[in-house]
Amino acid sequence: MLLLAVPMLFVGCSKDSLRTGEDAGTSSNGVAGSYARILTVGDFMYIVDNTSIQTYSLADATTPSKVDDQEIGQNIESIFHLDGKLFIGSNLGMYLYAISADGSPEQVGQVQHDILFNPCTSDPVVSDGDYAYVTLNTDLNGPCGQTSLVNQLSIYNVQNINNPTLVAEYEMYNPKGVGVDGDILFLCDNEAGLKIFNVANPTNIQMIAHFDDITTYDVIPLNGLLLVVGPRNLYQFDYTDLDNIHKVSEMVIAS
Amino acid sequence: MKKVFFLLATVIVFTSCDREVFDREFEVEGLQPIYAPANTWNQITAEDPQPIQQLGKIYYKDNFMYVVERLKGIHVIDNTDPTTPTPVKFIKVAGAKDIAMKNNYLYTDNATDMVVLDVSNLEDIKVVNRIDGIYDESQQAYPEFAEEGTFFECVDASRGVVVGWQSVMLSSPECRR
Repeated sequence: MLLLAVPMLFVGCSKDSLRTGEDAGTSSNGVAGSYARILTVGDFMYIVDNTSIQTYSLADATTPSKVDDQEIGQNIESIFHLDGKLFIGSNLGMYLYAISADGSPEQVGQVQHDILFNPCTSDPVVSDGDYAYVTLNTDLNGPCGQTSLVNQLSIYNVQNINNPTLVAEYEMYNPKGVGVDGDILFLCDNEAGLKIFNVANPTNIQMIAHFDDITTYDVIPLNGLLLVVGPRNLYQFDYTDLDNIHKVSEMVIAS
Repeated sequence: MKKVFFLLATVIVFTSCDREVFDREFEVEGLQPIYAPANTWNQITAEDPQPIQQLGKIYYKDNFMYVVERLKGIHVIDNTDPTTPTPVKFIKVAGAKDIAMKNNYLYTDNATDMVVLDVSNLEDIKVVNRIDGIYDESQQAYPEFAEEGTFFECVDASRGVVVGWQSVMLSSPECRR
C-alpha cells in the first residue's frame, strides 16, 4: 500500500521536482552538490569560506565584481539556494539568508544545533522550501570518533524562515551529502550506502530504497537522474519510477 | 602514557599561532601544507582526460558533469547518455576545490585567486579573468580554519604557493595555531 501511494504523491509534487531539472537543462546556472561553497544564483555569485560570505555581481559574467562581504559565524561548511533564500550549514547550526534586491544576503533566521559546540561534525543542508534537511556527521575515524558520535538527519520546518523549528531527528550511520526532489530525499550515509526516503510526512519519513553495497558521499538529483559520488566511484541512478530505482552507470575511479 | 601527558602539558603552555622549538622529539597528528610550484601554479591548461584519483565536488550543467580532482583540476565528463558518461577533458587548476557556473563561464579557485574560464568550446578553453586574493590569503602562512592548538608544519614559501592542507603525522613540528 505504501509503495503504491508513493508514486502518486510524487506525481503530485512534480512541479516542485522539475525545478532542479529546469535549472540543469535550461537556466543559466548549473546544479551543485550539497557540499558546495560557491553558488551562482541568477546574476550573483556567493562564496562562503570558514567564517564569511562574499557576494559578487555577475552582470558581466566574465568579470565578477564584489558587492558585499559579511561575517556569518564559525566553521561554515556549505551553501544551498532555493527561491531567493540561502541555507548555510555550519557545525554550530544553520543560517538562513534572504537575497535582497541588490543581491546581498540578509540574515533572516538561524538555528543552533542542540548539541554544545562540536568541532567534529560537518553539516550540509538542503531544502524544499517547507523543510530544511541537515545532516550532522562525526568522522568515525577522527579524534572525535570515540567520544562524540553525532550522526543524524535533522529536519527543520522553514515555512516561517524567521523562526525555523526542529521537526524531527533520525539516527543515521554517518550521513554526508543530501539532495531533495519533491517529497523524495536522497541521503549519502557513507559506508551504509545510499538511502532514499519519502519525506512527505517529515515526522514519519519512509525509506523507499536502500543501496547498502556502495559507499556514498554526495548527490545531485536531476529530475529523475541521480548523480552519486563515492570515494571510489561516480554512480548514476534512474529514479523516474520510484518502484524501480536502479543504477544506470558507474565510473570507477583510478587507484 | 608518557606521550599523552607531554601533549597535555604543551596544550597548556602554548595558546596562539606560534613558532616554538621543543627540547625533545615527539610525533603528533597535525597539518601539512600542500604546495603548487611557484612558477606554474597559475597556469591553467586543458588536457586530455585523466583518471580520477581523488574525487572532490561535483557540478552539473547542460549534460556535462564537472568533477573536481581535489587541488589539481576539473574533469569534464559528457553525460549526454547517462549510461555511458564520457570524460572529454581535464582542466588543470592548482588548488581547485570548488566550482560554479553561469552560462558558459566556469568559476573555480586557483590557490587564493578565482579564475573565470570560458568553456563554450572544450577544444579551446580560455581563461577570461582572474581575481586576485578572493580567498583568504592567510592560508599562505598558517591553516586559518584549524582549531587553536593544532600543530602544523611551518610554511616554507620557497616551496611554492600553498593550495591546501592535509592531515599527517608530524615529527616535532615547530608551528602551532
